[in-house]
Amino acid sequence: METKYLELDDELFEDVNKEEKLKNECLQPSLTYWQDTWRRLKKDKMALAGLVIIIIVTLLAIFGPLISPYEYDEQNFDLSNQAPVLSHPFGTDQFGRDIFVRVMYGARISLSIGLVASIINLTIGVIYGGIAGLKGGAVDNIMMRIVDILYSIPTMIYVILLMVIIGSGLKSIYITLGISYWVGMARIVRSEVLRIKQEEFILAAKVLGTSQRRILLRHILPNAMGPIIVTLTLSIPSAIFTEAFLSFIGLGVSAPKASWGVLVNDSISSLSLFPYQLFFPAAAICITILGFNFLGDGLRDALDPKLRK
Amino acid sequence: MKKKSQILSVLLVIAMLATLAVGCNNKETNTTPTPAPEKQAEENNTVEESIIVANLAAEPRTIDPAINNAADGSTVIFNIFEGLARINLDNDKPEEGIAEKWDISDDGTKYTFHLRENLKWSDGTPLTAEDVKYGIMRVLDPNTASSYAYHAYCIKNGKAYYEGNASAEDVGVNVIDENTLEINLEYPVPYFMDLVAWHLLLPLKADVVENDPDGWSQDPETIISNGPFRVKEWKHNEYILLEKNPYYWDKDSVKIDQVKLVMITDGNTSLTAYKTDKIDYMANIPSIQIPNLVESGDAKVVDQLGTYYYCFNVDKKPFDDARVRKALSLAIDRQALVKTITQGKENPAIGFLPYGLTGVDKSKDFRTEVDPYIDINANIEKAKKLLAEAGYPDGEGFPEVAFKYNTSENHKAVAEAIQAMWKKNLGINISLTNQEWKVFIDTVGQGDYEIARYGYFSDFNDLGSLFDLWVTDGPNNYPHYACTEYDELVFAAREEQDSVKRAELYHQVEDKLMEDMPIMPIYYYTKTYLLKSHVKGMHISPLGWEFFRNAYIEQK
Repeated sequence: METKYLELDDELFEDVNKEEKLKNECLQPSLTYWQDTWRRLKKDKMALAGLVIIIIVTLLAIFGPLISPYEYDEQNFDLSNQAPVLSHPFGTDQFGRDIFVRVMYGARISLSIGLVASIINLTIGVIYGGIAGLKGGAVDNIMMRIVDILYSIPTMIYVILLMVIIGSGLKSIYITLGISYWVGMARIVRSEVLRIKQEEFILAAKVLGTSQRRILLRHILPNAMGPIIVTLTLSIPSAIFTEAFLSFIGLGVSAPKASWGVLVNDSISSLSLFPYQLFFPAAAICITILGFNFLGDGLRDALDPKLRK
Repeated sequence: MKKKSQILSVLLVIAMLATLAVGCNNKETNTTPTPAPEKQAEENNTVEESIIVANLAAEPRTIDPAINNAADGSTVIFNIFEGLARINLDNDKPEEGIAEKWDISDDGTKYTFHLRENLKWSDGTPLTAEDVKYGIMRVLDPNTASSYAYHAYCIKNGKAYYEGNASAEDVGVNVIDENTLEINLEYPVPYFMDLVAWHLLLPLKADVVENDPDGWSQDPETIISNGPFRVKEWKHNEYILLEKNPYYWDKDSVKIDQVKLVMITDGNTSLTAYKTDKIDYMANIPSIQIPNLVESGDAKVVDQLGTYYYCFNVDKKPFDDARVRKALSLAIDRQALVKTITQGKENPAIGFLPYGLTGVDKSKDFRTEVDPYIDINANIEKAKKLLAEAGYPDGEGFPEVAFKYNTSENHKAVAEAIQAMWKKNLGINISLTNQEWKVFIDTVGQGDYEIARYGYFSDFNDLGSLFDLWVTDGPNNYPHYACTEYDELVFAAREEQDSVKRAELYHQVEDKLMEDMPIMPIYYYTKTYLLKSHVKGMHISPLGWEFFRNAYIEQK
């Protein structure tokens, strides 16, 4: 069969005059997605405060123990259970260890666990849920049944099994988080994808021949950012608490290393006598979580394309 | 909209704080007993029953007399069973139990026990000498796998029967008639009556035990006993309810109707329960609270015949070298440890046996009549020298070893302190792992450890009992210490009739043990307990058991 092309004559075209060209031009310099997000985040004071808190806590966690004159495991029985003074701003524990340096050291463990949990959530959870939602049909069915199975097995069982194989410690906590923490996120992302993929702009993208990958990453996920960020901010504190619980039953970090959760747990017994031993690590957890929540809240608004101006 | 969500996030943080508090105390909800409804139920009764609620602190692994080897199990057993002799509550010496008298042959190897008339089990069926024999034979039966069988080796052919070299008929336990039992011994045993009064050689009801050899001691239906109390209810991991045994021969001196043994593991929860009058007695006071409670006079301290020690697995490198073991022992400051960490008025260990046992000189204490083996403060120089001799100068090349302990705040605190002392004084790193008690005894029993925390109470008021632990292949010899010289000394001392020579031999035994140091004594146990002032007559023995036989509640 012979293809017949429409013959176009040059005369059919004419130059656009300058006036008309200017009318169609944008009035603002174009911004990338992230530049725009940052511009909007800057305006949200609470979100900025959250960001500052997180940065300060992170810096203290990294450099604090290096600067402090005390080691986190340095015991001094002569100074046991001292109330906060200038040389020990948070006081000392039963062994005469400086609580300030222990809280800063604990931040390393707790924050790293929060970080690992969020990375796992963002990568595995989002991609898994996204693919399941986008592909649909049999693929979705199989992927979601796997999620159901993982969801129904209690975390404790993984942990105990892992303990037998690789022993206790941070590594097994990371792996446990890796196995179980993305499951909730995958479900939420899937349901969001199912909803968004019915919308007209996705249809438009499909009609234009956009690749599946691009549709997922550039069109669907930005629109699902709200729920994703909310789940993420909630999963970080939950990971920190999970670690505290695991350490308490002997599956987490082992003494003298101590995460925030362990510090809180250890000081509960002396709450009536030395309340400051509980107060400082608990305050550290609260402030950090507050920071994450403020930032998460701000990010959700900043990332939502519907609120874009 | 934005404001709302900020308020929401603040609320979330508060909610998280709340979960934090709840999450950390999750044990409370599991184990707090609920005596309230019961008390109500009692009030509805026309006759008010008297009850003492005591905290046993842990679910006993078993209350089968042949299998039990833990103090919590022993407490239950002593209150529900009674042997031929029982323990006198005034002086902790053996007195007449279900046997009203006994004759001892001149050479000390034949005991004839005369049982009381009309003895009955707690279900009302008659108890005879056959039942006592059955209980003793069960301990020696190799199929029972009793970890205390070696205590009964002194019975004629007891060891041979346990090892399969003699038949049951050869064992020196003979029923003469329904009320007479004769026990023949291999050799005279100076503490045999203590052994008889102990929680091992007790009568058992053959038919219920044979019916379910493993499970009979778990179910109140099948726990048929013959002591002052019987098990009425057992809610596992919550409480054991004992009631007065109406068939006990001495039931008139049992004044309390019920004893509820609750299992609140967490010391703080237990303390709260005590302060709110939910329990009358507790001994697991959190160590941090002890100094204040002792000072105010609320808590009482009693010395116990028990030693808190660390086991070294001598099968594993580097603990196969006695110099390493001694260096580790020398590097810890026991005085500081008991003063700052345990805080229970304990005495730091200066040898293996605790204070409180008669020595060579009848008027002296076995512990204090010889020079201390261990300094109460650290001797770092000597420790470093020994470690260097063993090939680890300043801890160089010393492998990172794992230390195991059973989950408890006190064990953790002691371990953390010792870990820091070893690191600071010797440059040795150890890692700490904790396990639940039942898992812990299993792994340590299988030798799957390098260093492990352990403690042991003397079984009887006798010098030999703690030294018996370290005889080669002894069932509780977790360090796998094997030394023929030590064994020979222990056997010689065990059979020695003369108490002076016997004590001298035991000093030699201790010399050898402290020279090899398969275990590192740390301190001697004390028991710090809280007891409501209206509870009278309860006895706390220096061997770690609580007796409710003569307890009563004083009316206000």
